[in-house]
Amino acid sequence: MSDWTSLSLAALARALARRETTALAVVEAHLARIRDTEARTGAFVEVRAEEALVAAAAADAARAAGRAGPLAGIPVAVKDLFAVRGCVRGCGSPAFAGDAPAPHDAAAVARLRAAGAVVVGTTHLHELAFGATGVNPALGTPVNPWGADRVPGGSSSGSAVAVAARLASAALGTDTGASIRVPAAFCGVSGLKPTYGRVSRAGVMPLAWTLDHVGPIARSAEDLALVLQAIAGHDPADPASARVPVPDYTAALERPLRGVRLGVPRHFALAVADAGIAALFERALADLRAAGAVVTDVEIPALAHAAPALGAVILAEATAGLLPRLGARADRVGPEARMRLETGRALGAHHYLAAQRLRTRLYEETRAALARADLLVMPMTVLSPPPIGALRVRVGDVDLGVEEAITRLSGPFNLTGLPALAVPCGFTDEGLPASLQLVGRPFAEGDVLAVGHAYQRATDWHHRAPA
Amino acid sequence: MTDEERLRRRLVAAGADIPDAALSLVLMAAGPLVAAMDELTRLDLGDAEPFCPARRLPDDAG
Repeated sequence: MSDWTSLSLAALARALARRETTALAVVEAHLARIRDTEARTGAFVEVRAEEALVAAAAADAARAAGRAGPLAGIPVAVKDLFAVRGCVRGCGSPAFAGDAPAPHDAAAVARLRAAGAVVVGTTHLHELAFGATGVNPALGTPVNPWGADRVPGGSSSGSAVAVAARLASAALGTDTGASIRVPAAFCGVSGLKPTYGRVSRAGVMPLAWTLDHVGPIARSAEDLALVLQAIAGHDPADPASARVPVPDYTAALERPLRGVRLGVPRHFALAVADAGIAALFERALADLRAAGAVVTDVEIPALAHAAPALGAVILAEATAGLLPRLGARADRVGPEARMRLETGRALGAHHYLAAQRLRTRLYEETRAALARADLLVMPMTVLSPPPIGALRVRVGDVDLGVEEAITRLSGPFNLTGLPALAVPCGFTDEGLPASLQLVGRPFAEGDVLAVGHAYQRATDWHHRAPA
Repeated sequence: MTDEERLRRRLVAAGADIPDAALSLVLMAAGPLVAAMDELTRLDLGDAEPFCPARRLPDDAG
Protein backbone atom coordinates (compact mmCIF):
# COMPACT_ATOMS: atom_id res chain seq x y z
CA MET A 1 0.00 0.00 0.00
CA SER A 2 1.25 3.52 -0.78
CA ASP A 3 2.03 5.90 2.06
CA TRP A 4 -0.68 8.42 1.33
CA THR A 5 0.82 10.87 3.83
CA SER A 6 3.87 11.26 1.58
CA LEU A 7 1.89 12.86 -1.26
CA SER A 8 1.22 16.57 -1.58
CA LEU A 9 -2.35 17.83 -1.55
CA ALA A 10 -2.37 18.24 -5.34
CA ALA A 11 -0.97 14.73 -5.86
CA LEU A 12 -3.50 13.26 -3.44
CA ALA A 13 -6.36 15.08 -5.18
CA ARG A 14 -5.22 13.61 -8.50
CA ALA A 15 -4.93 10.10 -7.01
CA LEU A 16 -8.41 10.40 -5.53
CA ALA A 17 -9.88 11.71 -8.78
CA ARG A 18 -8.33 8.80 -10.69
CA ARG A 19 -9.69 6.43 -8.00
CA GLU A 20 -6.22 5.12 -7.23
CA THR A 21 -7.18 5.39 -3.57
CA THR A 22 -10.14 6.30 -1.41
CA ALA A 23 -10.77 9.15 0.97
CA LEU A 24 -11.12 6.59 3.74
CA ALA A 25 -7.65 5.16 3.06
CA VAL A 26 -6.12 8.63 2.87
CA VAL A 27 -7.72 9.84 6.08
CA GLU A 28 -6.95 6.60 7.92
CA ALA A 29 -3.29 6.94 6.92
CA HIS A 30 -3.11 10.47 8.27
CA LEU A 31 -4.91 9.58 11.50
CA ALA A 32 -2.51 6.68 12.02
CA ARG A 33 0.46 9.00 11.51
CA ILE A 34 -1.02 11.47 13.97
CA ARG A 35 -1.43 8.68 16.55
CA ASP A 36 2.12 7.47 15.96
CA THR A 37 3.82 10.86 16.12
CA GLU A 38 1.66 13.14 18.25
CA ALA A 39 3.78 12.60 21.35
CA ARG A 40 6.80 14.09 19.58
CA THR A 41 5.11 16.69 17.37
CA GLY A 42 2.46 18.14 19.72
CA ALA A 43 0.64 19.82 16.84
CA PHE A 44 -2.96 19.05 17.77
CA VAL A 45 -5.26 20.37 20.46
CA GLU A 46 -7.99 17.90 19.50
CA VAL A 47 -8.06 15.11 16.93
CA ARG A 48 -11.52 14.41 15.49
CA ALA A 49 -10.83 10.85 14.35
CA GLU A 50 -14.34 9.40 14.34
CA GLU A 51 -15.84 12.46 12.71
CA ALA A 52 -13.05 12.48 10.11
CA LEU A 53 -13.69 8.86 9.18
CA VAL A 54 -17.40 9.57 8.74
CA ALA A 55 -16.56 12.58 6.56
CA ALA A 56 -14.11 10.49 4.52
CA ALA A 57 -16.76 7.86 3.88
CA ALA A 58 -19.12 10.62 2.81
CA ALA A 59 -16.46 11.96 0.43
CA ASP A 60 -16.11 8.51 -1.13
CA ALA A 61 -19.87 8.27 -1.50
CA ALA A 62 -19.98 11.69 -3.13
CA ARG A 63 -17.30 10.63 -5.59
CA ALA A 64 -19.15 7.44 -6.42
CA ALA A 65 -22.24 9.56 -7.10
CA GLY A 66 -20.27 11.92 -9.34
CA ARG A 67 -20.60 14.95 -7.06
CA ALA A 68 -17.23 15.07 -5.30
CA GLY A 69 -15.91 18.52 -4.46
CA PRO A 70 -12.40 19.59 -5.52
CA LEU A 71 -10.94 18.74 -2.09
CA ALA A 72 -13.00 15.58 -1.50
CA GLY A 73 -11.15 13.35 0.94
CA ILE A 74 -8.26 15.75 1.58
CA PRO A 75 -7.28 15.80 5.30
CA VAL A 76 -6.92 19.32 6.71
CA ALA A 77 -6.12 20.77 10.13
CA VAL A 78 -7.51 24.00 11.56
CA LYS A 79 -5.85 26.48 13.89
CA ASP A 80 -7.68 26.56 17.22
CA LEU A 81 -8.63 30.18 16.65
CA PHE A 82 -11.42 29.19 14.24
CA ALA A 83 -14.81 27.95 15.33
CA VAL A 84 -15.01 24.26 14.43
CA ARG A 85 -18.39 22.66 14.95
CA GLY A 86 -18.30 20.48 18.09
CA CYS A 87 -14.92 21.75 19.33
CA VAL A 88 -14.22 24.23 22.11
CA ARG A 89 -12.45 27.20 20.50
CA GLY A 90 -9.51 27.51 22.86
CA CYS A 91 -7.52 30.26 21.09
CA GLY A 92 -4.36 28.85 22.62
CA SER A 93 -5.33 30.14 26.03
CA PRO A 94 -6.44 28.69 29.37
CA ALA A 95 -8.92 31.58 29.43
CA PHE A 96 -11.37 29.65 27.27
CA ALA A 97 -11.17 26.29 29.06
CA GLY A 98 -14.66 25.11 29.90
CA ASP A 99 -16.37 27.05 27.11
CA ALA A 100 -19.17 25.29 25.24
CA PRO A 101 -18.25 23.64 21.93
CA ALA A 102 -18.86 25.77 18.84
CA PRO A 103 -22.29 25.15 17.32
CA HIS A 104 -21.16 26.19 13.82
CA ASP A 105 -18.01 26.24 11.72
CA ALA A 106 -16.15 29.44 10.94
CA ALA A 107 -16.80 30.51 7.34
CA ALA A 108 -13.45 29.29 5.99
CA VAL A 109 -13.88 25.91 7.69
CA ALA A 110 -17.40 25.58 6.27
CA ARG A 111 -16.08 26.37 2.78
CA LEU A 112 -13.37 23.73 3.12
CA ARG A 113 -15.93 21.15 4.15
CA ALA A 114 -18.23 22.19 1.31
CA ALA A 115 -15.32 21.47 -1.07
CA GLY A 116 -15.07 17.99 0.44
CA ALA A 117 -12.08 18.48 2.75
CA VAL A 118 -11.98 16.37 5.90
CA VAL A 119 -11.12 18.19 9.13
CA VAL A 120 -8.86 15.89 11.18
CA GLY A 121 -8.43 18.22 14.14
CA THR A 122 -7.59 21.58 15.64
CA THR A 123 -4.03 22.80 16.14
CA HIS A 124 -2.06 24.64 18.80
CA LEU A 125 -1.01 28.28 18.51
CA HIS A 126 0.76 31.09 20.30
CA GLU A 127 -1.64 32.20 23.03
CA LEU A 128 -4.43 34.36 21.56
CA ALA A 129 -2.39 34.42 18.32
CA PHE A 130 -0.49 37.22 20.06
CA GLY A 131 3.11 36.31 19.25
CA ALA A 132 5.37 35.06 16.49
CA THR A 133 7.45 32.37 18.20
CA GLY A 134 4.67 29.80 18.60
CA VAL A 135 5.89 29.07 22.12
CA ASN A 136 2.93 28.35 24.40
CA PRO A 137 3.97 27.33 27.92
CA ALA A 138 0.41 26.81 29.14
CA LEU A 139 -1.10 24.61 26.45
CA GLY A 140 1.89 23.24 24.59
CA THR A 141 4.47 24.25 22.01
CA PRO A 142 4.40 22.23 18.79
CA VAL A 143 7.82 20.79 17.97
CA ASN A 144 9.69 22.21 15.00
CA PRO A 145 10.45 19.08 12.98
CA TRP A 146 13.73 20.58 11.74
CA GLY A 147 15.08 21.33 15.22
CA ALA A 148 13.35 20.46 18.48
CA ASP A 149 15.22 23.17 20.37
CA ARG A 150 14.04 25.84 17.89
CA VAL A 151 10.76 27.73 17.87
CA PRO A 152 8.19 26.46 15.36
CA GLY A 153 7.14 30.03 14.54
CA GLY A 154 3.78 31.49 15.30
CA SER A 155 1.21 32.10 15.85
CA SER A 156 -0.09 29.26 13.63
CA SER A 157 2.56 26.90 15.01
CA GLY A 158 0.52 23.70 15.13
CA SER A 159 -0.85 24.21 11.64
CA ALA A 160 2.66 24.51 10.17
CA VAL A 161 3.99 21.57 12.19
CA ALA A 162 1.02 19.42 11.13
CA VAL A 163 1.76 20.08 7.45
CA ALA A 164 5.54 19.70 7.83
CA ALA A 165 5.18 16.43 9.75
CA ARG A 166 2.78 15.07 7.10
CA LEU A 167 -0.15 14.91 9.54
CA ALA A 168 -2.45 16.90 7.24
CA SER A 169 -2.23 17.91 3.59
CA ALA A 170 -3.04 21.52 4.41
CA ALA A 171 -4.05 23.64 7.36
CA LEU A 172 -5.82 26.90 8.02
CA GLY A 173 -4.00 29.70 9.79
CA THR A 174 -4.41 33.37 10.53
CA ASP A 175 -1.83 36.12 10.00
CA THR A 176 -1.82 39.44 11.87
CA GLY A 177 1.91 40.17 11.69
CA ALA A 178 3.56 36.93 10.63
CA SER A 179 1.37 34.08 11.75
CA ILE A 180 0.92 32.06 8.55
CA ARG A 181 4.14 32.89 6.74
CA VAL A 182 6.64 32.70 9.59
CA PRO A 183 5.61 29.28 10.95
CA ALA A 184 5.49 28.03 7.36
CA ALA A 185 9.01 29.40 6.84
CA PHE A 186 10.41 28.03 10.10
CA CYS A 187 8.89 24.58 9.46
CA GLY A 188 9.99 24.33 5.81
CA VAL A 189 6.56 24.48 4.15
CA SER A 190 4.62 27.05 2.11
CA GLY A 191 2.11 29.60 3.42
CA LEU A 192 -0.07 32.28 1.87
CA LYS A 193 -1.41 35.42 3.47
CA PRO A 194 -4.02 36.49 0.92
CA THR A 195 -5.05 40.11 0.38
CA TYR A 196 -6.95 41.66 3.31
CA GLY A 197 -10.63 40.87 2.73
CA ARG A 198 -10.04 37.98 0.31
CA VAL A 199 -10.93 35.22 2.81
CA SER A 200 -13.68 35.60 5.38
CA ARG A 201 -12.68 35.97 9.03
CA ALA A 202 -16.18 35.18 10.28
CA GLY A 203 -15.98 32.76 13.19
CA VAL A 204 -12.32 33.56 13.91
CA MET A 205 -11.34 35.16 17.22
CA PRO A 206 -10.01 38.60 16.24
CA LEU A 207 -6.65 39.91 17.39
CA ALA A 208 -6.43 43.17 15.42
CA TRP A 209 -9.30 43.94 13.06
CA THR A 210 -7.39 45.89 10.43
CA LEU A 211 -4.48 43.42 10.28
CA ASP A 212 -6.11 39.97 10.62
CA HIS A 213 -6.01 37.68 7.58
CA VAL A 214 -7.09 34.05 7.07
CA GLY A 215 -5.11 31.79 4.75
CA PRO A 216 -3.67 28.33 4.06
CA ILE A 217 -0.47 26.49 4.90
CA ALA A 218 0.52 23.56 2.66
CA ARG A 219 3.57 22.03 1.04
CA SER A 220 3.58 23.94 -2.23
CA ALA A 221 2.17 26.92 -4.10
CA GLU A 222 0.10 24.49 -6.14
CA ASP A 223 -1.47 23.08 -2.96
CA LEU A 224 -2.13 26.59 -1.65
CA ALA A 225 -3.90 27.51 -4.89
CA LEU A 226 -6.29 24.59 -4.48
CA VAL A 227 -7.13 25.54 -0.89
CA LEU A 228 -7.44 29.25 -1.65
CA GLN A 229 -9.87 28.44 -4.46
CA ALA A 230 -12.14 26.78 -1.91
CA ILE A 231 -12.04 29.48 0.78
CA ALA A 232 -11.79 32.78 -1.15
CA GLY A 233 -14.73 35.03 -1.90
CA HIS A 234 -17.11 37.55 -0.45
CA ASP A 235 -18.89 36.78 2.82
CA PRO A 236 -21.44 39.23 4.21
CA ALA A 237 -20.72 37.86 7.70
CA ASP A 238 -17.27 39.53 7.65
CA PRO A 239 -17.52 43.34 7.49
CA ALA A 240 -14.08 43.56 5.85
CA SER A 241 -14.83 40.92 3.22
CA ALA A 242 -14.20 42.26 -0.30
CA ARG A 243 -16.57 42.03 -3.25
CA VAL A 244 -13.78 41.24 -5.70
CA PRO A 245 -14.21 38.38 -8.21
CA VAL A 246 -12.26 35.19 -7.47
CA PRO A 247 -10.18 34.01 -10.45
CA ASP A 248 -9.09 30.46 -11.32
CA TYR A 249 -5.93 30.12 -9.21
CA THR A 250 -4.91 26.77 -10.67
CA ALA A 251 -5.04 28.20 -14.18
CA ALA A 252 -2.93 31.13 -12.95
CA LEU A 253 -0.15 28.73 -11.95
CA GLU A 254 0.65 28.15 -15.60
CA ARG A 255 1.66 31.77 -16.26
CA PRO A 256 5.26 31.86 -17.49
CA LEU A 257 7.98 33.39 -15.34
CA ARG A 258 9.91 34.70 -18.34
CA GLY A 259 9.93 38.49 -18.28
CA VAL A 260 8.23 38.83 -14.88
CA ARG A 261 9.78 41.80 -13.07
CA LEU A 262 10.75 41.13 -9.45
CA GLY A 263 11.61 44.10 -7.21
CA VAL A 264 13.94 43.65 -4.23
CA PRO A 265 13.71 46.27 -1.43
CA ARG A 266 17.33 45.50 -0.68
CA HIS A 267 17.87 48.69 1.35
CA PHE A 268 15.60 47.26 4.06
CA ALA A 269 15.28 43.53 3.49
CA LEU A 270 18.99 42.79 3.57
CA ALA A 271 20.21 45.64 5.77
CA VAL A 272 19.74 43.44 8.83
CA ALA A 273 19.98 39.74 8.02
CA ASP A 274 21.89 36.62 8.99
CA ALA A 275 24.69 35.99 6.52
CA GLY A 276 23.43 32.46 5.86
CA ILE A 277 19.90 33.66 5.16
CA ALA A 278 21.19 36.39 2.84
CA ALA A 279 23.30 33.88 0.91
CA LEU A 280 20.33 31.53 0.45
CA PHE A 281 18.24 34.46 -0.74
CA GLU A 282 20.84 35.46 -3.34
CA ARG A 283 20.91 31.89 -4.60
CA ALA A 284 17.11 31.92 -4.87
CA LEU A 285 17.31 35.16 -6.85
CA ALA A 286 19.82 33.51 -9.18
CA ASP A 287 17.42 30.58 -9.66
CA LEU A 288 14.58 32.99 -10.45
CA ARG A 289 16.77 34.87 -12.94
CA ALA A 290 17.78 31.61 -14.56
CA ALA A 291 14.09 30.76 -14.95
CA GLY A 292 13.50 34.02 -16.82
CA ALA A 293 12.59 36.60 -14.16
CA VAL A 294 14.04 40.12 -14.36
CA VAL A 295 15.30 41.24 -10.95
CA THR A 296 15.76 44.89 -9.98
CA ASP A 297 16.11 46.81 -6.73
CA VAL A 298 13.25 49.03 -5.49
CA GLU A 299 13.06 51.64 -2.73
CA ILE A 300 10.30 51.74 -0.12
CA PRO A 301 11.54 54.23 2.52
CA ALA A 302 8.56 53.84 4.88
CA LEU A 303 9.62 50.26 5.60
CA ALA A 304 11.98 51.79 8.15
CA HIS A 305 8.95 52.67 10.32
CA ALA A 306 6.96 49.49 9.81
CA ALA A 307 7.88 47.78 13.09
CA PRO A 308 6.59 50.48 15.45
CA ALA A 309 3.53 50.99 13.25
CA LEU A 310 2.72 47.28 13.40
CA GLY A 311 3.28 47.27 17.15
CA ALA A 312 1.05 50.28 17.72
CA VAL A 313 -1.84 48.91 15.67
CA ILE A 314 -1.70 45.42 17.16
CA LEU A 315 -1.36 46.64 20.75
CA ALA A 316 -4.10 49.25 20.41
CA GLU A 317 -6.61 47.04 18.58
CA ALA A 318 -5.95 43.96 20.71
CA THR A 319 -6.19 45.88 23.96
CA ALA A 320 -9.38 47.62 22.83
CA GLY A 321 -10.98 44.46 21.45
CA LEU A 322 -9.71 41.50 23.41
CA LEU A 323 -9.54 42.77 26.98
CA PRO A 324 -13.25 43.64 27.23
CA ARG A 325 -14.13 40.41 25.44
CA LEU A 326 -12.10 38.40 27.93
CA GLY A 327 -13.66 40.17 30.90
CA ALA A 328 -13.00 38.25 34.12
CA ARG A 329 -11.34 35.50 32.09
CA ALA A 330 -8.40 37.83 31.49
CA ASP A 331 -7.04 36.60 34.83
CA ARG A 332 -6.49 33.19 33.23
CA VAL A 333 -4.51 34.56 30.29
CA GLY A 334 -0.82 33.64 30.45
CA PRO A 335 1.75 36.25 31.50
CA GLU A 336 3.19 37.04 28.05
CA ALA A 337 -0.15 37.79 26.36
CA ARG A 338 -1.45 39.54 29.45
CA MET A 339 1.59 41.82 29.57
CA ARG A 340 1.09 42.72 25.91
CA LEU A 341 -2.56 43.54 26.48
CA GLU A 342 -1.68 45.69 29.48
CA THR A 343 1.11 47.45 27.57
CA GLY A 344 -1.49 48.54 25.02
CA ARG A 345 -3.05 50.68 27.73
CA ALA A 346 0.03 52.92 27.63
CA LEU A 347 -0.67 53.99 24.04
CA GLY A 348 -2.72 57.00 23.08
CA ALA A 349 -4.98 57.76 20.13
CA HIS A 350 -2.13 59.76 18.59
CA HIS A 351 0.05 56.62 18.45
CA TYR A 352 -2.70 54.63 16.77
CA LEU A 353 -3.51 57.32 14.24
CA ALA A 354 0.14 57.98 13.44
CA ALA A 355 0.54 54.28 12.75
CA GLN A 356 -2.55 54.21 10.55
CA ARG A 357 -1.28 57.21 8.60
CA LEU A 358 2.12 55.55 8.24
CA ARG A 359 0.26 52.59 6.73
CA THR A 360 -1.11 54.84 4.01
CA ARG A 361 2.40 56.13 3.26
CA LEU A 362 3.81 52.59 3.23
CA TYR A 363 0.99 51.35 1.01
CA GLU A 364 1.46 54.14 -1.51
CA GLU A 365 5.22 53.65 -1.67
CA THR A 366 4.75 49.90 -2.06
CA ARG A 367 2.18 50.39 -4.83
CA ALA A 368 4.64 52.70 -6.58
CA ALA A 369 7.30 49.99 -6.36
CA LEU A 370 4.75 47.51 -7.70
CA ALA A 371 4.21 49.77 -10.70
CA ARG A 372 7.89 49.31 -11.63
CA ALA A 373 7.92 45.62 -10.68
CA ASP A 374 5.26 42.92 -10.98
CA LEU A 375 6.06 41.46 -7.57
CA LEU A 376 8.35 42.15 -4.65
CA VAL A 377 10.74 39.45 -3.48
CA MET A 378 12.78 39.24 -0.26
CA PRO A 379 13.72 36.74 2.43
CA MET A 380 10.69 35.68 4.47
CA THR A 381 12.62 36.18 7.69
CA VAL A 382 16.01 37.69 8.46
CA LEU A 383 16.99 34.76 10.66
CA SER A 384 16.47 31.02 10.92
CA PRO A 385 14.24 29.71 13.74
CA PRO A 386 15.75 31.01 16.99
CA PRO A 387 16.21 28.85 20.10
CA ILE A 388 13.14 28.39 22.29
CA GLY A 389 13.31 30.85 25.18
CA ALA A 390 15.49 33.47 23.48
CA LEU A 391 14.23 36.98 24.26
CA ARG A 392 16.83 38.81 22.18
CA VAL A 393 18.74 37.63 19.13
CA ARG A 394 21.80 38.76 17.20
CA VAL A 395 21.00 39.32 13.53
CA GLY A 396 24.09 40.27 11.58
CA ASP A 397 25.60 43.06 13.67
CA VAL A 398 22.34 44.08 15.33
CA ASP A 399 20.76 43.02 18.63
CA LEU A 400 16.97 42.78 18.34
CA GLY A 401 14.03 41.62 20.41
CA VAL A 402 13.05 38.19 19.15
CA GLU A 403 9.53 39.22 18.04
CA GLU A 404 10.82 42.28 16.19
CA ALA A 405 13.44 40.18 14.44
CA ILE A 406 10.97 37.47 13.42
CA THR A 407 8.33 39.88 12.07
CA ARG A 408 10.68 42.38 10.41
CA LEU A 409 9.84 41.32 6.84
CA SER A 410 6.35 39.89 7.36
CA GLY A 411 4.71 42.74 9.28
CA PRO A 412 4.90 45.33 6.49
CA PHE A 413 2.48 43.30 4.39
CA ASN A 414 -0.07 43.05 7.17
CA LEU A 415 0.13 46.83 7.32
CA THR A 416 -0.46 47.14 3.57
CA GLY A 417 -2.84 44.16 3.30
CA LEU A 418 -1.09 42.98 0.13
CA PRO A 419 -0.92 39.25 -0.71
CA ALA A 420 2.30 37.59 0.43
CA LEU A 421 3.56 34.05 -0.10
CA ALA A 422 6.29 32.15 1.76
CA VAL A 423 8.04 29.29 -0.05
CA PRO A 424 11.04 27.24 1.13
CA CYS A 425 14.36 28.27 -0.45
CA GLY A 426 17.00 26.13 1.22
CA PHE A 427 18.64 25.20 4.48
CA THR A 428 21.25 26.90 6.61
CA ASP A 429 24.51 25.23 7.60
CA GLU A 430 22.68 24.13 10.77
CA GLY A 431 20.05 22.33 8.69
CA LEU A 432 17.30 24.84 9.46
CA PRO A 433 14.87 25.96 6.75
CA ALA A 434 14.98 29.32 4.99
CA SER A 435 12.17 30.87 2.98
CA LEU A 436 11.48 33.36 0.22
CA GLN A 437 8.65 35.92 0.39
CA LEU A 438 6.77 37.05 -2.75
CA VAL A 439 4.43 40.03 -2.49
CA GLY A 440 1.87 41.08 -5.07
CA ARG A 441 -0.62 43.79 -5.97
CA PRO A 442 -4.07 43.90 -4.32
CA PHE A 443 -5.99 40.66 -4.95
CA ALA A 444 -3.22 39.36 -7.24
CA GLU A 445 -2.83 36.08 -5.36
CA GLY A 446 -2.66 34.37 -8.76
CA ASP A 447 0.53 36.30 -9.56
CA VAL A 448 2.35 35.38 -6.36
CA LEU A 449 1.23 31.75 -6.59
CA ALA A 450 2.37 31.58 -10.24
CA VAL A 451 5.88 32.82 -9.42
CA GLY A 452 6.02 30.58 -6.35
CA HIS A 453 4.97 27.62 -8.48
CA ALA A 454 7.54 28.43 -11.17
CA TYR A 455 10.23 28.64 -8.48
CA GLN A 456 9.12 25.31 -7.05
CA ARG A 457 9.25 23.71 -10.50
CA ALA A 458 12.87 24.84 -10.74
CA THR A 459 13.85 23.74 -7.20
CA ASP A 460 13.04 20.90 -4.83
CA TRP A 461 13.22 22.55 -1.41
CA HIS A 462 9.47 22.08 -0.87
CA HIS A 463 9.85 18.33 -1.36
CA ARG A 464 12.32 17.99 1.52
CA ALA A 465 10.80 16.20 4.50
CA PRO A 466 12.14 16.25 8.06
CA ALA A 467 13.55 13.00 9.40
CA MET B 1 14.42 60.11 31.10
CA THR B 2 15.02 56.62 29.67
CA ASP B 3 12.58 54.79 27.38
CA GLU B 4 11.90 52.33 30.19
CA GLU B 5 11.15 55.03 32.77
CA ARG B 6 8.86 56.86 30.34
CA LEU B 7 6.91 53.65 29.69
CA ARG B 8 6.74 52.82 33.40
CA ARG B 9 5.13 56.19 34.12
CA ARG B 10 2.63 55.72 31.33
CA LEU B 11 1.68 52.25 32.50
CA VAL B 12 1.10 53.54 36.02
CA ALA B 13 -0.95 56.48 34.72
CA ALA B 14 -3.05 54.12 32.55
CA GLY B 15 -3.74 51.82 35.48
CA ALA B 16 -2.10 48.85 33.78
CA ASP B 17 -2.18 45.71 35.88
CA ILE B 18 1.39 44.41 35.69
CA PRO B 19 2.90 42.50 38.64
CA ASP B 20 6.07 44.04 40.05
CA ALA B 21 7.96 40.86 39.23
CA ALA B 22 7.16 41.22 35.52
CA LEU B 23 7.52 44.97 35.24
CA SER B 24 11.24 45.08 34.51
CA LEU B 25 10.85 42.52 31.74
CA VAL B 26 7.96 44.46 30.20
CA LEU B 27 9.92 47.69 30.33
CA MET B 28 12.98 46.08 28.78
CA ALA B 29 10.96 44.42 26.01
CA ALA B 30 8.51 47.22 25.22
CA GLY B 31 10.38 50.39 26.21
CA PRO B 32 12.33 50.79 22.94
CA LEU B 33 9.29 49.83 20.85
CA VAL B 34 7.03 52.37 22.53
CA ALA B 35 9.79 54.98 22.10
CA ALA B 36 9.79 54.15 18.38
CA MET B 37 6.01 54.63 18.40
CA ASP B 38 6.58 58.08 19.90
CA GLU B 39 8.88 58.79 16.96
CA LEU B 40 6.04 57.85 14.60
CA THR B 41 3.88 60.59 16.06
CA ARG B 42 6.55 63.15 15.14
CA LEU B 43 6.90 62.07 11.49
CA ASP B 44 5.67 64.51 8.86
CA LEU B 45 3.29 62.28 6.92
CA GLY B 46 1.95 65.09 4.78
CA ASP B 47 -1.60 64.52 3.55
CA ALA B 48 -1.70 60.86 4.50
CA GLU B 49 -4.97 59.93 6.16
CA PRO B 50 -5.47 56.83 8.31
CA PHE B 51 -5.36 53.64 6.25
CA CYS B 52 -8.62 51.83 5.58
CA PRO B 53 -7.69 48.46 4.03
CA ALA B 54 -11.28 47.32 3.55
CA ARG B 55 -11.88 50.28 1.23
CA ARG B 56 -8.47 50.95 -0.30
CA LEU B 57 -7.52 47.46 -1.46
CA PRO B 58 -10.75 46.67 -3.36
CA ASP B 59 -10.54 50.13 -4.96
CA ASP B 60 -7.10 49.19 -6.30
CA ALA B 61 -7.96 45.62 -7.33
CA GLY B 62 -7.16 44.50 -10.86
